[in-house]
Formats: sequence, C-alpha cells, structure tokens
Amino acid sequence: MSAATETRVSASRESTRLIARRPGARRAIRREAVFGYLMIGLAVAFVTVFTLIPILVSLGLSFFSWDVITPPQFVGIKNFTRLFSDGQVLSSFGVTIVLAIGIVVLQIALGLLLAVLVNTRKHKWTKALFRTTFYLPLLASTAAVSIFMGYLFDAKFGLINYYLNEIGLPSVPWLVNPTTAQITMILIVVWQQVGFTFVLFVAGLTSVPTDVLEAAAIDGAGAWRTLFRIKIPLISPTILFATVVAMINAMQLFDQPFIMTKGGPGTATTTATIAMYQTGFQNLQFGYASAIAILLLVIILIITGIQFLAARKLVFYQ
Amino acid sequence: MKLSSPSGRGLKIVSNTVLVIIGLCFLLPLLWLLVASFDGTANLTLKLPAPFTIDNFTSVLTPSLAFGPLWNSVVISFGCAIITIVIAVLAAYPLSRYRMRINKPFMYGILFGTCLPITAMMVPVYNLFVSLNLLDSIWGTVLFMAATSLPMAIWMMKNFMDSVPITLEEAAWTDGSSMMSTLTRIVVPLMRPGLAVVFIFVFVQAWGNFFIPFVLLLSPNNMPASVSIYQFFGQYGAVAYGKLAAFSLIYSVPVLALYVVTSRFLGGGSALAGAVKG
Repeated sequence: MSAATETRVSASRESTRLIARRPGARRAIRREAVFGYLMIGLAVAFVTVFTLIPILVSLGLSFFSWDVITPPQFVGIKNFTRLFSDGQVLSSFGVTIVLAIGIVVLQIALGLLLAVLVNTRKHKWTKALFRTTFYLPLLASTAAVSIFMGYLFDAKFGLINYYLNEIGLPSVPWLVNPTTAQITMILIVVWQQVGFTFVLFVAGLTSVPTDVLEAAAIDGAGAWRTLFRIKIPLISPTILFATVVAMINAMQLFDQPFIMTKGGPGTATTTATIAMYQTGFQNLQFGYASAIAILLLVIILIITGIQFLAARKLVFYQ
Repeated sequence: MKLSSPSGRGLKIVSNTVLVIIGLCFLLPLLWLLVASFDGTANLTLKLPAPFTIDNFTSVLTPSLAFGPLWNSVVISFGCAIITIVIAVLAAYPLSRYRMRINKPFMYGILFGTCLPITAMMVPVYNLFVSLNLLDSIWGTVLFMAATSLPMAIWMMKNFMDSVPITLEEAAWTDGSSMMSTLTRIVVPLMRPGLAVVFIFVFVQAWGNFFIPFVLLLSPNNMPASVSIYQFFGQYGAVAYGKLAAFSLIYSVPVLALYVVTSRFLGGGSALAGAVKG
C-alpha cells in the first residue's frame, strides 16, 4: 500500500479515539467492528460459494472417474497419470503456453509502444482519436470479433488475402496452416486486447511526475534515455500488473480459437481450455476434465508466482 | 519525451508513420464492419455500399435474433454489475477505513482470487448448477458471473475509496452518524466516478462474456447476444456478411454508449487508475 493510505488509516484511528471519549462509545465501536466484519463477510461468502468451493470440488473430482450418469468412482491419481501420457492433452498445454507467451509479449510491447507514441502527441484531439481507436476493439464482444475476423482472415475468400493479391502478393494460409494459424490467433487476440494494456500504460505515463522529467532534461538526458531510464522504471508496477493480468487471461484462451478454428488445423490451436471443454462437456469425462483444469490452475499459479518473484528485482516502487 | 534534440525531426516522422500504420490496422476492420452493414450485397471487399440499404438492420432486428438475446445480455450484464458493485462497496469500506487484523491477508486473498482461472471452475460449477437446478437459469448465471468479477471489483473499489478524503467522514462521525449512513450519504456520493469505472468494467466484461453463458445456459430463449451471435453466424456457416456486420454494430452500441458517457466525465485514461494504485 502507498504511504498515503497509511496516513489515512492512522487518521481514522485518530478519529476513533476521538469518538471513544463519548460515553457508551466503546460498545458502539465494537458494534461497528462486528458490522465491518459482516460487510466483508458477505463478499467472502459469495466468492467462497461460487469460486473457492468449486475449485476444491474440482480438485476432489480430479481423483474420480465420472460420466454424470453413473455415480463417481474413485480412481486415485489415475486421471493425472493418464494426463501425463495423453499426447493430445499435453500438446494442448504446449499450444496454450506458446500462444500465451506470444500474446503477452506482443500485447505488452505494442501497448507500451503505442502508449509512448500517443503520449508524445501534443494536441488533445489526436490523443483522444488514437486512444479511442486502440480502445474500440476491446469494447466489441470476443464472439463477434472472432466471427468477423474469421471471415477477414479466410484463406480463400477473405478480405485480407484479396487485397494482398491485388497488390501482387501471394495469399497467406492464415488459419489453414498450423504455424500461421497460431500466429494469426496471436495477432487477432492482441488486436482486440491491446487497448487494455495501452490505457493502463497511458495512465501510468501521464502520472510520471514532471519534476523528475525536468530534472532529467536539465541533466541532458535525451528522449531514449528518459524513456528507458526514467519513464519505464517509474511505470514498472503498472507493467507488472498488466503482464500478470494478460498472462492469466491468455492462459485461459478459449473464445477466439474455439469460434474461429475449433482448435484446428489439427490441434494447432487447441488450447487447454478447449481440451477441457471437449473432455468434460462433449465426452462427459468430468473427472478427467477436472484434472486438466487443476493442472491448468497449478501452471497459472506457478507462472504468476514466477512473475512476482522476477518483479522483486525488476519492478521499482517509489 | 522531448523531441527537440537534433535527431528529433527524424524520430518524429518515424513515430508518426508507425502510429498511423498501426492505427489503420485497427480502424480498417472496423470500417469494413461499418460499410458492410449498410451494403445489400456485402462481400469481403472494402467498398462503398453499392446499393445503400438498411435492409441488413431491419432483417436482423427481429425478436428471436436481436431483441431477445440483447435483452438477455442487458439483464445479465446489468444484474451482474449491480450485485458486484453493492457487495464490493460494502466490503471495500471496512477494508479502506478500519485497521483490522484481516485487512492484509484479505487483500492478498483478493489478489489471489483475481488470479484464479474461471475455466478451472467450470466443470464443478456446471455440476453445482445441475444439482441446485440452476442450469439454464439466467439468475444463476448472473450470480456466478458476479462472484467471478468480485475480487477485481473489490480491489479497484478499495483503491478508489482510499483516495476519498476522510475529513468529511470524521465530521459525520463526531456528529453521531452511523457507519452505514456515513457510507451511503458521504462516501458513495464522493466516489461516483470510481463507482462508474467499476460498473463499466464489470458490465463490459459480462456483456462480452462467451464461455460462462455458453456452458451454463441451454435454451435459445435464455442466450445472451454473445452466444446467439456465435450460434447464428458462427455455427451454421451462414455467410451473411451484411447481417453479421449489422448485428455486431447493434450489439456494440450499448457498450460504446457507456464508453462515450464515461470518457466524457472521467477523461479516458484515468478510468483504470484505480486498478493500478497501490
């Protein structure tokens, strides 16, 4: 928490002490404390019922074999041993990690580049224009974007190949060839989501204190140096936040590949979530699907943990 | 970045070119969407609508195709956002104003909660919904979506609340105002921009969410627009570009309107500042 919060908290303690001088105030304070716990408790209960319990159930289910129709059968770690020898599921995790890394790296780099470029615009309306442009796709629903991007990137009849041919370039097998399908998927996801990181970075860059920038200018730091030595270190907490959020989202990628390619060609874009969906909701192997979900959960937690550990060295807090 | 150094002019040209090219990559697909929606014979080329027509809109705007799903989307997103806001405000207030033993572990718990993948819960949630008879119930879906958006909402809400000065509340306390009335009469009105940001954040996420309603809802009557657009245009291979474009535009209008309204009084970028403070 920031220093400002600390002072405010101590200020609130100050005022509690003020009230405490009133007769009967002690009881009032205790009542308020109970009330405070209740207010938080509501949120805790809600989150527990709908997310924590399901995750625990998921963990439990991953040790059972269950097809919904017959009662669950305890199978021990069989689901997990099967998982680690199941080529298709393992490949879906490989696909997920490749796509997630591609998406996060591109999204952070592009978001930072765009934020820095837009932030140097002097006119208010050009800033607003670019901000809206990069933010618009984020407002469209993923399903709608996936469907019309699927049309645009269609290898035979798509708009993009049509114009490539018009200017004398050969058609690109966008979603047909496994490698290009993965690249196309990354591009489309980043196209839609970069607005989020972009807005975060613009907000971060705007809040870089001007006295620091002036001091740098007086000391003769050029544009590049100011950017890499001052601005980026100062907004590094924002970069960490954006990276962590983008990574968690990218690891759960489902909508775009499911709608555009159904995980194909072959299994080139079958992400772990798609594999889980197919195993559970299509093949009715709920125990095995839970095992996939738990493995995904563990991998996401590990990756997030690594990011926070790396942040200890890289992130600069004021 | 100061661009007045000797190499400044070259740098400026490069940066302008890059910005314009990337900007075009973002705008052209949207432009195609706009143009195609008014084109009677829309195909996959970017051209001015040959027969300019609003037929695409009129043929899409039917009860079963647009109104029903859009209404469901409104109910789901609005319900989800309202429930989330109320619970988040209640939880954020003690977290922001009182020094309690559970504050720190709770905030870490919240951070952890935002990291949990929703997909990992879908299988047991599906089974939970089956056993509670909530499957295919819009309100069940709303409750679940509200629960998944709560951690992030509480996190943002607490940070917004921290930036509301405490002096006014102290005055209210010394005047004998209770905690609840201080919250509803002083804090909530003071943090309206923050409330708006969290509301929009949750609303937009719920509006575009595909996976949760896709799994938890079954009957076409209950489907929000995000799923129905997939079922109509994605699955049956109906290559109806103009109609798809028209539907996508109609579908995006509410969210666009929200964005315009909020960026007016929030100034765009600062909108998400509450999420990164701290």
